[in-house]
Amino acid sequence: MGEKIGRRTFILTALASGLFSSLGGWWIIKSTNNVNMIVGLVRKKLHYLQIDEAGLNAFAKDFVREGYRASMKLTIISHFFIYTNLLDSMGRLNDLGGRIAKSFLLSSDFFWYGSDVTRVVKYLGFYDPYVKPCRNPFAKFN
Amino acid sequence: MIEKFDLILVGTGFASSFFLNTFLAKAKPTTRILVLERGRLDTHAWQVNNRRNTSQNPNDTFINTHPQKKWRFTPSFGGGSNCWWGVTPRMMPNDFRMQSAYGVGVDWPISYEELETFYARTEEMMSISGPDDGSPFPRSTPYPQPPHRFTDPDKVLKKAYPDLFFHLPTARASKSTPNRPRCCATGVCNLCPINAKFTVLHEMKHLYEDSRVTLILEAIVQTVETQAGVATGVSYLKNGVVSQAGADIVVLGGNAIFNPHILQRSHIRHPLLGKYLDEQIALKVTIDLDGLNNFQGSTSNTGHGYMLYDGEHRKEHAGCLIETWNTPNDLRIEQGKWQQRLILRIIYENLPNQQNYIKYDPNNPDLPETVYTGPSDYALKAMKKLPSILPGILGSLPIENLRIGDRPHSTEAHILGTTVMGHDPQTSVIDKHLIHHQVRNLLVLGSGAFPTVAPANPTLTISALSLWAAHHLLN
Repeated sequence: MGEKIGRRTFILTALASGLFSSLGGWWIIKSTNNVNMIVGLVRKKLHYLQIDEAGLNAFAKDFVREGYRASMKLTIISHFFIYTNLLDSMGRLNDLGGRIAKSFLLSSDFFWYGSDVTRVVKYLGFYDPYVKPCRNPFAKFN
Repeated sequence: MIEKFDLILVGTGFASSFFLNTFLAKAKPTTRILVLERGRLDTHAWQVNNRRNTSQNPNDTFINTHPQKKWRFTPSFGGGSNCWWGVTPRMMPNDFRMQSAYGVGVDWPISYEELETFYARTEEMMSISGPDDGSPFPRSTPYPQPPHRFTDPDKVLKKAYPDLFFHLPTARASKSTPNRPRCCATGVCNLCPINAKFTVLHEMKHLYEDSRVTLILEAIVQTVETQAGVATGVSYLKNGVVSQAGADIVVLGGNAIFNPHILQRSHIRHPLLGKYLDEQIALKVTIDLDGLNNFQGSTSNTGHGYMLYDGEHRKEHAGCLIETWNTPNDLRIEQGKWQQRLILRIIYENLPNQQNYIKYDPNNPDLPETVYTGPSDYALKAMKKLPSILPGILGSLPIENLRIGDRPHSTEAHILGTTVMGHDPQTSVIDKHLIHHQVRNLLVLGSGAFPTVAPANPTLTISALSLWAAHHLLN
């Protein structure tokens, strides 16, 4: 026969579970928000490009996972500042958006196809020299 | 009983490894060498997997009393060769004679001409890629490897300044070697993903596997033991236990924070020991180009401009070296202008200042303290002039917009001074052969020897000085 759980233990366990669930839920919501925000920022910054929708979403998810520091910054910004237009005009989100847009360009096939703005840009995989080295699209060796 | 060696070498970075290379080449089969390294051996695979150069936190090894000024180094086997960017200019001849030529700083006790063959030997050992169409400094031999590919802006600058703009010499291979692949311009050279740059770990580890060498890792040297002005060995901490080892010759090859601290802790005193801690200071310049694409180079930085380096202006203010950069992360996102950006790094020399120093605290003897009051007015004056000078210097480039960083980088990842070399024992800690003026069987290698801070990156000079010191010791 199992031991009875004390009232105090039960309450503490319930509180810990609740806190854990809340934090986990908050993080999932924030991560989802970050993915949406990244998609929006890339679309805005690279408005002149036709971007494959599924690939852009995959990039945004990879950015949240791989671009840890920038993603954390994005989480903080999106959590505390909901007026993104104001932030944009202040330049803070603008800088981050630029970095994310550059990351997307380097992660895509855009430069590998001669920077052709008339074709649909596809996501190739997150640009990380430590995962896939030697993918600099501009470097020449002759 | 204290174990006795012929030589004790402290550290495994550039200074120690190039010294050891020469020493082993002439040592007898029975010679015994003890090498003590404070760090661990973190393999390249470990570094790549962990995205850092060392498993030890450098900030745990010293106290930075002015944290706004960063001092960057790698406490692990191979030292700074793990994290360096691989840029290898020589110092210019006048860098060795700043007092004679320009009336500022001091002259080095060694001349460019004396060091030239050791520079050449170091370049050979590192398989340096460098210009094949001239050089800013006199050379007795060509570079071992052909130059990396210029970018298009580099080509414009070369045309405007044929005698002052050159391919950047680098330890990042421009063609594969038996040990290294060709650099593929990843742009993350502080930890090359494909091991294309020279590192001690990759190219000189065999020295430490020589049967005459005993290497002990995670061994922190505390003091140099002396008797009647002669070094007799060292004491070191390993696994919480202090041990002693004896030797006929002791060689300190740590960086310019740890070498003076060991001497201070050993009570081998000198009024200037630990003084003149400094390094270069650098500004970033971001240039939006108008119609000219960049980033076609074959490595992360590709050009060296000497337009503001040497000359009469050094009587008044610092000279600087101009680096052109070629990393893809610097691209623009405006339509059609993706590659129309050029990043420059303007690296200024500095005049060493006694107010910047390594402090030894007897109440906390394990941790050296860095004290830094700021760069010299000599350097700051030159930086202030840059906005009015630079557009003219770059007049051959189609510039849409030019922005100069409003503050210097927090570090150049070079730590210089603190055990300065010179002829006069009153004004220098070591002599021209890097031998301690008072303790004549004690050598103090490395960047601490630098009595002035030239614009050129110091690693090639550090390594050449070690070859020079070992050559003199053995002859």
